[in-house]
Amino acid sequence: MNEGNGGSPLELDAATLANMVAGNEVDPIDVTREAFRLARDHRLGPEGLNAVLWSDQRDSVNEARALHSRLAEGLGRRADDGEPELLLAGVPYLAKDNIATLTLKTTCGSKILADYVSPYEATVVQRLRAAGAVLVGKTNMDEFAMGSSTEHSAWRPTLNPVDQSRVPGGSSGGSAAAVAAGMVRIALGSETGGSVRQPAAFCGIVGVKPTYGRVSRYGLVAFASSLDQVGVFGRTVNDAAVALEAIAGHDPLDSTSAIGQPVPHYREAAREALGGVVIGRPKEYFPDSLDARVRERCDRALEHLEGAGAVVREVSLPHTELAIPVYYIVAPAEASSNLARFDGVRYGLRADPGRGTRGMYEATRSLGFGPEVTRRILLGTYVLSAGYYDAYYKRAQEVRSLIADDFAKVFNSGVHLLFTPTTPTPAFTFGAKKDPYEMYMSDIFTATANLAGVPAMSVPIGDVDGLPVGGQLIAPHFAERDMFRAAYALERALSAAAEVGR
Amino acid sequence: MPVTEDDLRRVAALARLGVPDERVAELTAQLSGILDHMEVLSRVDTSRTTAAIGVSAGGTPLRVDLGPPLPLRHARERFAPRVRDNFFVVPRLATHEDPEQSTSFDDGENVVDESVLDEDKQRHQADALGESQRESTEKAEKSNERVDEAKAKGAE
Repeated sequence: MNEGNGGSPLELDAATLANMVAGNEVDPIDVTREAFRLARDHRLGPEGLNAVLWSDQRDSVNEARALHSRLAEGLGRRADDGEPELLLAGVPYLAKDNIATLTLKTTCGSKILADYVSPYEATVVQRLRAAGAVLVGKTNMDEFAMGSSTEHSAWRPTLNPVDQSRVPGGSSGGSAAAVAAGMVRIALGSETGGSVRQPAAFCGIVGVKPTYGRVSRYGLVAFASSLDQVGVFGRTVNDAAVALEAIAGHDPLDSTSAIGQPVPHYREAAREALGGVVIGRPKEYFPDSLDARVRERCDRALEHLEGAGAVVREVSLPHTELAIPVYYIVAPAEASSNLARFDGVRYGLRADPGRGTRGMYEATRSLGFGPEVTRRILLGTYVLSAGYYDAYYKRAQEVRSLIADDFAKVFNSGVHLLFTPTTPTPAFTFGAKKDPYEMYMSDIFTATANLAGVPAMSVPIGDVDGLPVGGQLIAPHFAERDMFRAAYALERALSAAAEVGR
Repeated sequence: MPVTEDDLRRVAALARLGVPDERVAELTAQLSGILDHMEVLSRVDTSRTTAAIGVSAGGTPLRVDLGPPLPLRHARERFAPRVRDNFFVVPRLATHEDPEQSTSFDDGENVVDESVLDEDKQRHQADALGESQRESTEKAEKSNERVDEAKAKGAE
């Protein structure tokens, strides 16, 4: 592979690369090897940024070889429009370590699953393979996706490639760091309260949380089932759009996967102007305490959206400030139930001090779970326990309805999309958030979309002292295409402005 | 509602989490601190709202609960801590169990059935499970009696 400027196929966006692979101009085996070379060059393994936990070059090359045969059997370019038959032919990708894969381990960043290899495969992994993508590794994460910095991984934190003294965000920090470092164009993450959008913002890439039910969760290790959704990272809006197109749609193996919701071609929104689009600016997401430079980047992004034809309107989502208290009751409650399955019997670690099954459960779980997971299981068990259920859990579910109603009211009042900062600040330094609740507040602008089940994405909108800042677009249920339309327009305008400024 | 150390121990027992004594105070304080932030919810007027059940547009899609379990692509030995004859093995009960420490009703080494690989094994396992369930029910009853006895003694 070429070493010079513009020589790497991974500098091409995913769709262009797929087209070249489909047209036999680039060999998918070479592309796969190139991804591994980049991983070594950028030190993405445990000795460096610690973004990629598990990978096997030989297996990945074999996958690429199998793809080679499929291409040779006539799955190259389509005759009518010259587009690739396989949307992601030869495109390497990474998956978060809580997504089940058959050959690589699935540890969820936890000691309790330290050597776990799943006996089945996630639907999203099967769909990406069907689309021609090649899995090149599993990425680091906060243990069981509980965290906003990857500092809670049992396998040590991931470093932010933009500034290694800072966290990459979390919980899907490994995926975000690897895409930002340039090893791959796309990666899978998972979202419960912002675990794709927040690291995307911290690393300066695009991160999408689809509508609840848009993407199958079969093979995603459950954290909080009323909130969890698989998400995608892309270096650009188009990378993310292609990846989402490949994995979205109904799956009979996931009972929460939506029926009767066709998957639009998100990429077709790429060139559309924003005439007639009304974008709300919710005042609760721009509090006085917001970092002034983050606010300035957001205001500039809104000007760009207006420049593309959108109308910006001030709106209110009055229950926003309650999102974190609600989220940190609902999510731990569901987690305490979902994580009950890790008991040393059917999979993973077993510690048996010889005091019966009860003793085995307790020893296994206290040895296997890290401090944050322990804290959340205790919190979740407490808010569900007799005497506290009504005061905490039931009350939180009621307030959750009010938060969902806020979105419904705004979207029913002629507003098509919302624009907000993704996070209150750029990436923070390691160890900066020692108090658990202070860490929880990192999710303040992202958890609302999970609670309401609506889609949202983070797009890079500039930087502050060299640290990336993300802007968030939020759309009504299943309106991802409109969300991408605005994201494309924003990305285009920002890159044009950067050209002028150069 | 501040969390007490007794609350924390009770919740840890419910969650089957062994929390060492030296961590109880710290975790109690953290839980209390976190729950203080949740008090704001008690001041919200929720008289005109109902608890959210799901957030899917159009409700939860349902399907008929049919069909065999999906085949596993790796043998259980590859991912389970202890397997014998395709069953998951759970530990043998300690000979002198302290009822204060444990309320487990198992006695001897039990096996727990899980998903199956093919029909033959399914039949085989169904037979085996029937037997082991009968056994463990009898054992649980005996064990219950012992726990009751122990409680009665403790109360004296």
